[in-house]
Amino acid sequence: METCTRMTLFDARDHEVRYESGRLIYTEALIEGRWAGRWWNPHGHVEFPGIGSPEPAFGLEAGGQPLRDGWSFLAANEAAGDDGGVRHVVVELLHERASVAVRVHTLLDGTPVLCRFLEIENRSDRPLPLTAVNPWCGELWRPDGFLGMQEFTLGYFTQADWACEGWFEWLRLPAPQPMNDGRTRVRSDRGQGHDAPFFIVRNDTKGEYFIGHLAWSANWEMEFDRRTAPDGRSTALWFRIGPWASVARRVLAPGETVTTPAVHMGHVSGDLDDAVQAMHGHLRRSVLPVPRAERRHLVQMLVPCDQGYYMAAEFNEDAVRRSIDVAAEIGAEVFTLDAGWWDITCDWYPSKTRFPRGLEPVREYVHERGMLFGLYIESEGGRGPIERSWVGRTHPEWLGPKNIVNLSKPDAAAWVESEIRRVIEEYRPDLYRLDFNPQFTGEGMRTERKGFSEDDYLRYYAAFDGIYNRLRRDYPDLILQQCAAGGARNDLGTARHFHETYLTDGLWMPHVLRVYAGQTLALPPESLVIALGAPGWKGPLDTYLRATFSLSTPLIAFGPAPSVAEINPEARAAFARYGRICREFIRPLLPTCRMYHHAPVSAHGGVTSGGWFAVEFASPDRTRGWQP
Amino acid sequence: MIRIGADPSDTFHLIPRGLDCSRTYRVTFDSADATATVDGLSLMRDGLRIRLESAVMSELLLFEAV
Repeated sequence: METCTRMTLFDARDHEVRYESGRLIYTEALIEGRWAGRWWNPHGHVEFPGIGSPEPAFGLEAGGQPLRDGWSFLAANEAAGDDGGVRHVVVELLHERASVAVRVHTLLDGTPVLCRFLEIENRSDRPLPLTAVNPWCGELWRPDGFLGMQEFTLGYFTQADWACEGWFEWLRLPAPQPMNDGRTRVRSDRGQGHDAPFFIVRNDTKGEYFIGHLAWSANWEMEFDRRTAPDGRSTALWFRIGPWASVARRVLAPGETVTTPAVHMGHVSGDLDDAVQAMHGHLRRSVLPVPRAERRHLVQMLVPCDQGYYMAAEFNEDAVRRSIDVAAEIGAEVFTLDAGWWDITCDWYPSKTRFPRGLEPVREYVHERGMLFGLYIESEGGRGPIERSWVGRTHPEWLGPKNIVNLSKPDAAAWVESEIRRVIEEYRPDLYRLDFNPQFTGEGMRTERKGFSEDDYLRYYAAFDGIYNRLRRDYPDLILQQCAAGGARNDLGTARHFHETYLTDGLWMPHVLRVYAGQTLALPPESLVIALGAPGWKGPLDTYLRATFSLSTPLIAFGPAPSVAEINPEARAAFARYGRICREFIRPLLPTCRMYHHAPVSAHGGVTSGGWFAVEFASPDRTRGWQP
Repeated sequence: MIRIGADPSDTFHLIPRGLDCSRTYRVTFDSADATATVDGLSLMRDGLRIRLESAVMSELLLFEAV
């Protein structure tokens, strides 16, 4: 059956725009000066004329004034260009009083998950401070007199702490006090929190789900409001999601346009598996980049200088050669030189004392042993004695909290990009592993612009997006992998630029499995790199290997021994056995597999429920599957 | 599956959801290095009971339609 993506404009009916992707239908229209999200249907049913919500489909506030009403419709068109089979619709609106134009972008890829972002243009002759931006909001479920009091359950990542990525829990709406004031508001305001902006909300009365991401790596807020209709006989659910700051998200100069982070949101009828598989399908089809076929999901081993068998001064060329031998012996296909090959963070040159011959001999030896060479970098700074580095000494004004190189400053961003390019071209890695370790930066950096205080994060991540769009274009063979103190940027804002996303630094058993169970609700398993084996965890080898080799792209941290001679022979055989299962059975299925969450995360349990971990993978044709 | 904490039972009742009830599967039990042939309907209706007595014990199952 052909996949449906369609946009239909009903100009005579309040400029209603109907989006269809798969069986999903969603409509918006201009109702009394509001661009309203009218109705959703996941079954392909068309609503009767005149039915729909009057609630705005986006939220915008300029100088503290909400721009709910006062919009006029200009046009609805399909964007030109090749989007890889994705239909791209742009609705243009104008707010005359505020002199603001908004272009509402919607991408339809045939799955029941739509992608939505806004372009906001200041058409006035004065600065425009955007004090609130919600790229998507509105009523998800409308009051329904036949169904009565609909009940809703919200699931989201509840922990911002280090190593607690994907800490998914369910909550019946409305949340209990003091979390809500009638509404349920969830905010991440720690800067680089480990709680990616992701949600699943279930209508327990109708058996339907919404599942959504905000593609955004800094602070955010989402809100859900279970509302009782005026007649008191039915309920609806309203939501909004967007980046958060206590000051202006962005100050637009006259004539300037800003693009908001995207929201990827799907509406699915069925069970939790259906909702999760719909999101995985969307991300695979039109969002996440895929490396060259022979470079997908390779078995990796890495060694850093701050943990493992060779630390500090011991982390040198000789030790790394021994580790390369270990990696080859246990079947690794990529060897990554991890943190600490330099002397001063942000001076991305090999340590003169530990790698006096540079990295070329290391790279050559990795290739000689039949593996690809991976190289780690923390290009945006964020830890270490950066004040002693070139950038710290010559451009301290580029540094923000925790010595982050502030990408919102164009010169700083250009320098970071040029250094990444130099590292790629000089050291020629096959895999580039980005890390970012400032930990929590709160509201981060601000800049005074035309009398308004502006949060720097929108400019920061616009620069970040530009850097990685260009790097992907210019180095198409390079495997791009990202981590951030574990998974502080396991959101779609960052993950969409990288082939691989590192699950977590919480590598100890069984904690890592709880993280995995939650995180894979949001991201498909093949996009994640899973490493097990915290330095203090030397538990059952078979469990370690089953988990490492069967859940995602395998990453062996540190290796099983400091040298080949010290590898236990039976352990070596076990590595070989599970490596073979991974390469021959799991790897071919992983990129298209359907995933089923049994425990601890399920339709009714979060990461802390129960004492079992069980997930299931199956090929789309249901002929093969595995259950780690 | 992997036992990750306290639970009243030492047995997990797994009911696969991604198989085809009209097919027959060769099921590999990795810990025993053994296989069994089971029809999909039985797997999806009755499931498999996997006993793991202690924390961090595990099993890996592979399903292949025959």
